[in-house]
This record gives sequence, C-alpha cells and structure tokens, in this order.
Amino acid sequence: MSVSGIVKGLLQKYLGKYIKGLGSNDLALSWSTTELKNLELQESLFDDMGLPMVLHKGFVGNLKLVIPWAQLATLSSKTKIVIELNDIFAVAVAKADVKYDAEEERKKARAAKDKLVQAFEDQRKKAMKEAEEAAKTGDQKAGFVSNLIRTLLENLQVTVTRVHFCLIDNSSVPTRSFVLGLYLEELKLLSVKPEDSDAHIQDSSSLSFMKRASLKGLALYINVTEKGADKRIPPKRDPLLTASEAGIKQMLIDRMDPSRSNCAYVLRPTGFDMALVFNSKGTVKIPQVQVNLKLSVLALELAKAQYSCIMGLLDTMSHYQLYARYRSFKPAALKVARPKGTHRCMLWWTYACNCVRSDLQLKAKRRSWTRVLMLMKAKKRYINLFFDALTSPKNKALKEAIRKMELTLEANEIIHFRKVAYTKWEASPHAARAKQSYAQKALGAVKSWIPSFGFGTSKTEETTAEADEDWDKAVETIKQSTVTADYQLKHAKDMALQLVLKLPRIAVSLLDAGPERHPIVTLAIEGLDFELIQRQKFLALRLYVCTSLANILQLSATVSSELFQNFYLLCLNAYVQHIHESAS
Amino acid sequence: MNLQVEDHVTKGTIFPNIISRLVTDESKNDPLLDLQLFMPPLDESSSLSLRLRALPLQIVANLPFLLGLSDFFAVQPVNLHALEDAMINALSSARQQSSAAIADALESHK
Repeated sequence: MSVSGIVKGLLQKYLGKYIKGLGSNDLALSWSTTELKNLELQESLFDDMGLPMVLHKGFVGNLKLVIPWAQLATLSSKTKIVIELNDIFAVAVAKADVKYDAEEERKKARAAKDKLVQAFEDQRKKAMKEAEEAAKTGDQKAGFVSNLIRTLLENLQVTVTRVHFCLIDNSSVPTRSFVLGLYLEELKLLSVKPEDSDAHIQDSSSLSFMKRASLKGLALYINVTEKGADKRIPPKRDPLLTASEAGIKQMLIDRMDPSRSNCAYVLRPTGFDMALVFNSKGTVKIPQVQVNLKLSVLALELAKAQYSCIMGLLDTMSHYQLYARYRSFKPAALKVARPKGTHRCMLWWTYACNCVRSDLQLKAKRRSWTRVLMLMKAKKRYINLFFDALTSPKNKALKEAIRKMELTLEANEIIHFRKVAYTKWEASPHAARAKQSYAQKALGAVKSWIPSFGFGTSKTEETTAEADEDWDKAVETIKQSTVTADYQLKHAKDMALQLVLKLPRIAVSLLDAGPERHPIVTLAIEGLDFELIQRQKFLALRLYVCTSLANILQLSATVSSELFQNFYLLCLNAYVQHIHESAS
Repeated sequence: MNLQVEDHVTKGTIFPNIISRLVTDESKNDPLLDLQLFMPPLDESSSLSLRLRALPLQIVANLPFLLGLSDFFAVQPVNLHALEDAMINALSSARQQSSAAIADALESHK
C-alpha cells in the first residue's frame, strides 16, 4: 500500500463519518503533511447523536495534519504533531419538517442494532485488556503503548479557529421560529515548556510535560421571530436556507462580529485560559495532574421568548427520542395541525390506536411460540457459526452467513448468543493457540519496527525504591504533624489532582419581552475561586471553596411598613461562625 | 468579592437589592463562604470532616418581584406533544383495564 493510501485509510476511518470525500481517489496526500481545503460535512452528522435535526449545509475550510510518522518512536520535544481545523460552518434544520422515509428508518434501526453489538464487543475487549494488565501487577515497567500515548500527548498541538453552528427551528414552538447559534473564534491546545510558564503554574521545574489550552470568543445566541397571527401565511424562510455556499459563510462570519451583528446573545463572547500539568514522576512537590483554569467574565442574558424557545427545543428533543418508534404511523397533516374539526380528531385517534396496537403486536410477536422455536434453532446455528468464525477469522463465507442471520435477530439476542459462543471458544484449545500466536506476532512486529530507541524502559529498581522511601517519609510526616486546616491547605506533597478555578465575574440577567430588553432581575457574583484537591493513595477529597454564596442557618424575619402596601418583605439573615472542630 | 441580586420589577422600591452582603469592618476581606470537605481527614478521626464558614447575607423579597419571576418562567408546553402523550396513555390504560376486566370476568365465571 502506498503512503497516501495509508493516510487516506486513517482519515477515512477517523473523520470519514463527519467529512465527505475523504476516501476519494482525487485526494493528493503526502506522508508527513496533509492539507485539505474546502471540504463538506456529511449530511448524516447528527444521526448517531439522536437529535431531531438534519444538516442543511456544512463546510470545513481547511484541515491540516502534520504527523511525523517516521519519527513517532523518537519524538523529541522539538518535533510536533499538529492538527489544525479552520472555518467550520454548519447550518442545521429542526427535523419536524423532514418527511418520513421507511427505507431510511430501516437503515437507522439496523445501524442502531449494530452499534449496540459493537458496544458489547468493545466492552469485552476492554475487560480482557484490563484483566491482562491486572495479571502484570508488580511489573513497574511502562509498556510500549503507554509510552507512545504519553509521547503523542506531549507533542500534540491542536488549533481550531472560526467554528459556527446554527440551528433553524420553525416547529418546536408553535408561535415562534428561532435561530440558535453557537460559535467560537479560537481553541488552542499547545505544549508549553516549563521555562515559558508564568505565575499561572508555580514550581514547574521538574514536570513531565505541560499543556496550555485557551479558548476565545465562545458565544451562544438565540434570535427569535414571532409568527404572524394568520396561520395561512407561511413564515418567512431564514436567509441561511436560501443563500449560496459563499453567502452562508459570509453571513455566519458577519454574525461572529459582536459590533456588526444584531444577535440576541444568551452567552456573550467569553473564553478561558487553562494550564494542565501532567507529572508522572514519583516524588515531586506538585500534583500528578494540575489544572489551573482562568475564566473570562461570564455574561448570561435570557429573555422570556428565548427561554420559551429553549424549553420548546428540549421538549421536542425528548419527545423525538421517546416517540421515534411511532413515526411511521403519523400522517403528515398531524405534524403541525391542532385538533380542529371531526376529520382531524379522527386522524389523531387513529394515530393513537396504531401506536398502542404496534406495541401490543411487538409484545405478542416476542412471546409467540413460532418465535421461540425459531430462536431455539437460530441459537444453535448462530453459536456454531460464530465459533467457527473465531477459529478461522479469515473465512468470508462464515461472516456473510452470520450477517444474514443477524438481520432477523434483535440486538439483545445477538449479544446473548455471542456471549455463549465466546464462553465455548475460550474453553477450547483454539483460544490458547490463538493467544500465543498473537503475542508472538505482536512482539515480532514491535521488535522489527523499533530497533533500540530506549522505549519500554522507565524507572529502574533503584528509583522505585527511592520513591517508596520518600513516600513513607511523607506519610510519616503527615501522621506526626499537628493537623490543622492551614497545614492541610498548604501541604501539597501528597496531591494526585489539583483543580484551581478562578472566575472574576458572573453576571446573569433575565430580560423582559420588549425589544429594548430591559432587565427584570440581575445577579452578579464577583471573585469566585474554587479549588479541588485529591490526595493520592487515599480515597480522599479536599474541597476548598471561596465564593460569594451564603448559607442560611439562622433566620430572622423583619416586617416593614411596605407590608401594608401589599408588599411582602422578608429578610433572611444568615450567619455561622463555626462548624465543629472534631467530627462526631 | 461580592454577590448582588438587583430587583428591576418593583418601581420605586426602597430595597433595590434582593440579595446583598452585610459588610462589617471585621469581615471586609473574608470570603462569603468557605467550605472544606475532607474524606477522610488526615488525622483519621472520622470518615468525613466538613468545615464551613459563612458571613451574613441580607435577602429581601417582595410580591411583585416574585410574581414577575414566576411569570417569566411560566411557559406552556407544546400542545401537540401534550395531546400525543395524553391520547396514547389514555388508550393504553383503557386497553389494560379492559384486559383486566376480561380476566376478572373469566375468574368469577368459574
């Protein structure tokens, strides 16, 4: 296989589900750098997510991958794996407007069944892997795969710029149509050298590696349009649905500029700066994982119409998933019609009868003697076929026969039959032989690929003994010391995870329905600090919150003269000085 | 460090702040809430230790404000969805009742 063929295969495997044309023969790909421009998103983007929406148009402006395949095993800190995605724009439409397609629904049901079976297979593989790792307890050497993953993470640089997703919904709320948009200007995940760190990360001299993530210009808006009183006049189509490709891109880019757009923001453009430290070394003063998160000002605004649209959309989403199995019975006239007139009432009752009848038929079919007999026969045949397929995995005829049988079976039945087949196979001598052969092959492949780059080696026995000694000392110090709150807060030697969050200001406003969007109530919290610490080797969690909320334990009510003017006045005054020193 | 909730519904109110902090000289620089949870504490005296320190807070509420707030969040569910739920539930329960009635009749006939 050629170099471009391998890269194409990888792209198709991981991104083919989301981006069109990655398997095309016209793609010119090189070994280390791959750059693709003007790509389109797949229409089936939302199918797996179970969301009631279809993609109208979706584009990816630029996709760039720089992967030094030949140097993966010997990656130095200067070599970088780069992933860049620019100009991702998507316009989706709520699904109530989409017609029912029987063939399409059958395909989706089959895909859902396959997904359940695949999930079972993945879970089984994971369990086997965990069992293998557990068997290796006591061996402190890091494996090739874990070293490779660590190296990849250490050198990974991800940049995503200009992402805008837009949902046009005319059906979730009967009296309103709305456009919900979510965009971000830039997302970066970069590796940072310890000397480049500022006061954000303290004492970073002996780190394994450090990443910095920053997000800029994240915003959410909901533009609401009231439908006219006359229902015979169809609502005006959103310009995004009629515009050309270039027009859609331009409109979405314009909306991302707060000074030029007239978007009704729910979340005003915000961002964060996050520093992550991964420290795999045994004895250091900083935690194994340290996350310092500095958020920008959070400004949330919500008008009543926007709240109503959000609730309508959530209701439609839950309803869509709950009643997906009845979709075939629903006449098109009922999707938007209210029950007025005898004819429409009849349609509604017929639909409800069909729904209930389909449930009954399904139950009766599952319990029928014909199906029980069929399952008994199918079980024997399926288990034998699957067992044969496990012993000779390259036999295509067997795989085809299994696939045909699976068409008539339900997901839980397939999973049950596979479990029995696996048990039978694991008890057979074939399984032991297959494992031995696989191990030999894997070892041979690794040896031939990686000559002697020092991979698979980590701490020596001396280092491990030293680390244990340090740990024992640390535990001893903790036990002997006077335990106070200050000591616990300052003591950092035994931390496994530390999360520090700083939020300068949150402002939440509820707005009235008028065009000027006057506030009804505003909430402002300033200076919110949050710290979460987990101690290693203890199932211990230390939480330190320093925030602007108060607990209400003492209550005093004051009644003022406004009570007599039909105003209630309630003063809750809460104060707690001390909560216990010693636990009960 | 501050927390403030303002009322914009009640015109001419003498309490524009629904929630505000009661500032005293002693507590000017202290956090409003300081919560520490240890599971378990280092001295292993218990399985869980909770330390909570809070400062006074004044909460004032009046009727127009509460009514304005409840009016904001009062959203009618979508009629068609509610109708669909009601019809399917009504038919299923009617069918279950009738099958139970037939079973009962057969039982009593013996």
